[in-house]
Parts: sequence; structure tokens; C-alpha cells
Amino acid sequence: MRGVAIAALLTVCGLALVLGLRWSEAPVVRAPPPAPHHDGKRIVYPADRLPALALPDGRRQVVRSLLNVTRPMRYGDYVWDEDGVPAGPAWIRVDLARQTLSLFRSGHEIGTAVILYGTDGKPTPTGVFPILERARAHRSTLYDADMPYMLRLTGDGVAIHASNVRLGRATHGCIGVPPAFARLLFDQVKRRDPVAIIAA
Amino acid sequence: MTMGNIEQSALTKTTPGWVAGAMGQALRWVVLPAAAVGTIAGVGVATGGVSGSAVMAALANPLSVLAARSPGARATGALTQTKLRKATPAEGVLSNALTRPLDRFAAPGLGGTAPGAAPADTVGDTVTDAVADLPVPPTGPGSFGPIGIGFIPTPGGFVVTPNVGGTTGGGGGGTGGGGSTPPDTSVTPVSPAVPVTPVTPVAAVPEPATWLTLLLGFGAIGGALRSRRRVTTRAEDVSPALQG
Repeated sequence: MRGVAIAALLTVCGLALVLGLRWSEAPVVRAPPPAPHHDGKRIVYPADRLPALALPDGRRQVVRSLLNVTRPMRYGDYVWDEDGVPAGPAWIRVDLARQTLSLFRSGHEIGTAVILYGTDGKPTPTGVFPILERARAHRSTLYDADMPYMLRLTGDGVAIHASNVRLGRATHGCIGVPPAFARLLFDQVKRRDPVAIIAA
Repeated sequence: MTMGNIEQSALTKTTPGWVAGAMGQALRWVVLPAAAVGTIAGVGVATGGVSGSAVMAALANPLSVLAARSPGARATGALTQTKLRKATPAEGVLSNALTRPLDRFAAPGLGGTAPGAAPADTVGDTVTDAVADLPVPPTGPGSFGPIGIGFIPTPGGFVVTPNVGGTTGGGGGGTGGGGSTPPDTSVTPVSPAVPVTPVTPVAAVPEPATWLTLLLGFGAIGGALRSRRRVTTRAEDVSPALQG
């Protein structure tokens, strides 16, 4: 009798174990949520669910991928990666609140840098500005200062140009980027490419 | 991939992310190791798969991705022409306010005396209570004396304090001093809490209405003179026989 009881008990325990395991084990196949994947260098968005960034004039620019920067950038930092990015229309997004500039080509972000922008007394204007003029070596007539790789945005002197980007500095309205980044940026954009400056 | 000032390892970590195939294919879910992921879009991944959805949700919003890499907004007061020694500039409040002993050589009746010191013997009984009750003025840089001539209200009354130094500029030059070593012949400030500014007389310019009234008055006088002459002439034309 005792043997039968023990055998029954073991059977029950075994059944409970097997059934419990079956209920608790994860399904073999589960669909991951449709979300971007990153391969270390880029965050790529799925083609059927592309996000868009809003511009100050109401337009929206589709974003296909972003650079995967894994730590906050500092003054003087920049990132550039255009490997595998097709040629196409370019646009620049300047975020004064985040003190960064992003260059997009064909919807892919290929460059980003920390910027200097205008002081409170001479602020950088916000809005969408087409590039009016490009000059590799320009000298400001207003301030008698060098503005290498200048991309003119407004008629009264606001431009993107190379500058010594470091803590504690600001411009009189221009957007300053590190010189090496300015050179790369200069070669990517052309006249009439839009530059969206988002407010601080 | 070109990077400036960023270590190679920080940006080109190869993480076994999960592969999204084309629609309809079986998708593989690969757990993201915590060490390699780091802070994607600012969301730390403590363990694998459970918080992977949170990471993906954060990645789905490009603005959060852009914000994660940003150094933040520019702090107020962060702009400076010189090299910053500290991350945030700090203000210091002067804790030792120097008090200057009151002038001992001031003319009698003017200024006050140092607290605790005996009044000048030469003044004697002429020292009024008003002068003796003068409060000790707090002296410091820039508050060593009134400018020019003015009336300084005091508790006892008004005390005229002419600027013996002779200069009207404050702290400029000459005997006014630069605020560092006030001269002995300067007048003791009585109540520097109320700054005294010199009153310069302004030339009186008549209003346009006044001009007009003046012109009309002159015109009336002239007209009256002309009419009186005419009357006088007419009176003379009368024959002398009728005149009395």
C-alpha cells in the first residue's frame, strides 16, 4: 500500500512539474515590436514606419536613420558617418535648446556636432532658411573676423561657419561648428538647401 | 566613420542587436547585453529582453535620440571671455564691511564724532544735540562723501555739508580721492543713504504762449500810441479861439 501511495505521489508530482513547466515556458517564436534596430553606428527605422521631424515652418522631414551616439557630446565634439548613405537632398537641423546641429542626406543623418550660437543680446534667429551663399574663406565685414566654410543664411549676416567651439563662448548670431566638421559640412550642402533652426 | 574628440570605442561598439527581416519572415529576437548597450537614447538597459521594449520605444522617437546626445541647454551666466575656473561662477558677498572713523578735523557743527570718542573741546557748548545724535555712517568703497553741495536730512535737522575738496565729481580725482584713502580735510558724510545731487540753475525759456502774449501786448501798446497821436493831432486842429 505504501509503495502504491508513494508511486502515486511521485506521479502527481511529476505531472505537476511537467504541466507547470509547459505553462511557464516562453513561446518559441514571438514577434518583436516594430521598432528601429541599431547596428552600433546607426539607429535605422523600419521603412514602413518612418518618423518625421517637424520644421518651424510646418514642414515635416522624414527620418530614415540617425547616428547612434552613445554618450552626450561635449563642446568640440562631432560625429560624421556617411558610409552606405545614398546621395540625395540634404538639409540641416539646428537645435539651439540642445546646442547641436544635425546634417541629413536622403533622410539619413550623416553628421552631428555641438554648436555655438548667438548671445542673448544678439540671438540667432529661428525658422527655416535656405542657404544663400557658400564661401570657403570668408571674412566678416561687420566684425572683421574669419568665418571659414561659411554658409550664409540671412541677409544680415547670420551664417554657419567654423568656430572655436568651447564652453563659455557664443557668437553674435552665427552658428559655430568645429572646423573639421565645418569642412565636411561645406562639401555636402549647396545653395537653397534648407536649414531649420529650432528655438532655444 | 569619422569622429572628433570621441573615443572610437564609444561609438562603434558592435552590439548584437536584433535583426529585423523583411515582412513575413520569422524574426529573431536577440537579447541585448547590458554592457554593450550602455545608454541608448538615455535609457539604461539593466538586463536583457525585459527592458528591450522600453529601449525600442525610446529609439522610436528621434527627438529623444537627439536629446540623449546633447550637452543640454546653455546655462545662464555660462558665457565668459576668460577661462572658467569652475563649472559655475559663484558670487561672494563681502562680509567685512569696513567702518571709517569719523573725521576729527571737521568744522564744528558739521559731521559727527566717532562713537565713544569725546566731542571736540573747542566746540564745547555749541555742539547741538542734533549733531551729537548723528548716526555713524557706514563707510565703504564709494560712499565716502556727498557730491557737491546739498542738504542732507538728519534726525536732528538739516546739515549743510559743503564739499571742502572742491571737486564735484564723485571719486574722480583731486581731493575727492579714489575711495581708497579719503583726505583728512574732507567733510564727514552725514547720511549717505540719501545721495545728494547738485542742482544747477536752468535758463528760463518763455513758453510759446508767453511769447504770443508779449507780442500782442507790444502790439496793443503800439496801437494805443498811434491812436493817441492821432487824437492829439485832431485836437490841435481845432481853432485856438474855442480852446479854453
